[in-house]
Amino acid sequence: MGEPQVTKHAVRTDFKKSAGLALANARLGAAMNAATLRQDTGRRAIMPELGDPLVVRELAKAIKNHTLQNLDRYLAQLADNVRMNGGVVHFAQTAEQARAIICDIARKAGIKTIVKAKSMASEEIELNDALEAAGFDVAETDLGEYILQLAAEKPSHIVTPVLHKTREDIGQLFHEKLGIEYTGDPPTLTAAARKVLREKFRHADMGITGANFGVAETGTICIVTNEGNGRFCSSRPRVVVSLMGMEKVIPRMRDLPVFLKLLAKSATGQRITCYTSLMTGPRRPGDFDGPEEYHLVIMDRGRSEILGSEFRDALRCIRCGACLNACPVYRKLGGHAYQSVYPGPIGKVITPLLDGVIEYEQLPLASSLCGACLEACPVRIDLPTLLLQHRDLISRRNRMPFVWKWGFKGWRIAMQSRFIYSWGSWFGRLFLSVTAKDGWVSRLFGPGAGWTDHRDFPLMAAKPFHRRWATIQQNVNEEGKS
Amino acid sequence: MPECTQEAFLATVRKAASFVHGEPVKLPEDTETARVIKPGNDVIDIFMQRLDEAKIRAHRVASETALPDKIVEILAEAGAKSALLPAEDTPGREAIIARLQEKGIALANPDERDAAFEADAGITGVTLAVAETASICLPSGGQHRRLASLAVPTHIGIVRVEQIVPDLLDFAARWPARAPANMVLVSAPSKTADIELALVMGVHGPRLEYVVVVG
Repeated sequence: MGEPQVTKHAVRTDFKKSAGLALANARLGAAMNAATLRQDTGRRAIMPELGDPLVVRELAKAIKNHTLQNLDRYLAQLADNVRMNGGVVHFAQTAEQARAIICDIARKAGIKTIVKAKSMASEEIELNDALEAAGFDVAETDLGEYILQLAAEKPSHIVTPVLHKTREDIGQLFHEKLGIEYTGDPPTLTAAARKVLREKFRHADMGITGANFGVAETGTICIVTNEGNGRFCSSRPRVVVSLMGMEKVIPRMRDLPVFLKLLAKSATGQRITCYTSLMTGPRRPGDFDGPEEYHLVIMDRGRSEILGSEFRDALRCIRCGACLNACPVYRKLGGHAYQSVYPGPIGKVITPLLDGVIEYEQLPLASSLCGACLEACPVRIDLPTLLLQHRDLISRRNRMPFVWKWGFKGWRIAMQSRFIYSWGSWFGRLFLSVTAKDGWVSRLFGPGAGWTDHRDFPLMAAKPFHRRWATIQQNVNEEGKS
Repeated sequence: MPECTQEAFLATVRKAASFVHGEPVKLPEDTETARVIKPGNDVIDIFMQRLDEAKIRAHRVASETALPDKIVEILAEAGAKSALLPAEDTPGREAIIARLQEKGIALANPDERDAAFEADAGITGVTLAVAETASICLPSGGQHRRLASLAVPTHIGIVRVEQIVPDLLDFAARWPARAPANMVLVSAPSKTADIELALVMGVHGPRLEYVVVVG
């Protein structure tokens, strides 16, 4: 334990290539940039409502850290209480087990049609494919996920999954798949989806939800949605299954508000989501509605490996997507370039751990380590440090080229000596200014070529900072006096 | 068996959790530091204002006697011609029913399984309301129909002033020992921004959400 497992014969996904394709798509870039900027601005605007948001974030972090350190105990308590409430608890260590369990529940209950609320855990295990292969009729009911199901595409954002599509794309899709007249009007498109899905809700005999939080103390599973589809999926069908990643457990009901206060604000800049549903077992004797059977599937799928490693902090994640919206890389690319269920900064950290460190080796490298994700994260996951940990493992796994190894050693010596640093940068500028154009170097040679293959290198300033510092300091001092 | 036993599953988790990673963290005893709204005289005003910000149409009447007229007014505004018969513990139920019948609003029998899919409106009481997030809390169980506040295009929640608590922390603190199978906090009309972040109201749940505060 302590280090992620390396699978044999792994094939590396080509992030550089997919990122290049995404960057070449100007429309996608503009749409992603506008949308993420808006959500990030919304988050910044509402967080101060918490007074000192840092206090609440630190509280949430402490609750999660404590829970992770005692995860087996809280999972046992949650399972006991769900059973006490009349629910059935299943444990799945792998994606195959989780899929088999849910198909089995459906088969035993004689299910034909299934409605599904949005769940990233179900995306992880490609549950829809498994259910459809087993002969069940499955409908995604979150509008974004429904659009993706019609288009046979994957989400590009963990909260707003269809950000990569324009209204015209969706209008065309609905025209082709639902036979409605072409329109790019969001209310009309939403109404068309509502009409179809309403009938699905009316007749479905099984509902599948994810789980935002599982309260150990009461055996209550909490899901949040804006559309009301989560409520429908958990209220109308006679069988309801919640699929929960095992890190979603929290100890007490009084811990729940701490997270509810953070989740929607961080995700979409809302004070709280429209519907916060709290499910405590199947319907009680005498209840008019609600499921006759309630199942909770608790899934590990690589999480215990993360728990037992230096990457544990990543399990605090509440899947708000704030780090995606804040990330300069995600903003330009959108989610598909990552070729993973979880994109953005959190995706770069957990995808290699969940789906293969070799397969997704390029992801931890695609970051400038600017720290915007850490600043945005409601549970203060130190994503830049976790990315560095990944890079450390990569450098230890792959034999570093001779030039790199000695290059970094030389760099270290130079950075520790003022003399070498100042003369080195003077020579560096002299050397670069030969090839620079408008202050940018677009082609370096030798070991520097790897940098300019993917981005330009800025020419150093004519007067370096350490020589300007004396003047700056003087000005600051004078301002202070006046 | 496709499943993993609880023992085997938790044994793996236990082993992983025992990996030493930072100092042991105690569960914070006090979550009060997360409080946003303190108890006080302005809690009702905050609730009313935040309902408005959440696009829930907020009304206030002095007493239960004014309720029936208010409900009629709201149903007219929403263009509702029918409503589900309110559950027995709905505040002012008898008078509301009488007035709706007088006004020719059809009252659907909620025992029909699909009634909520057909009716224009649902009228319910609440277990409590939260000022911080403009939330009304609706329980399942007994006479309470989950779909009466979900499948209808218009929902009216009746809140007595004494049911309003300041903060989400107070909602959690009042969690009952025998909780109903379902509790929902409704904090806005059903909405989506999935298509180009354009806000559209009324996706699967009510497009119009009303709250009438009594007292």
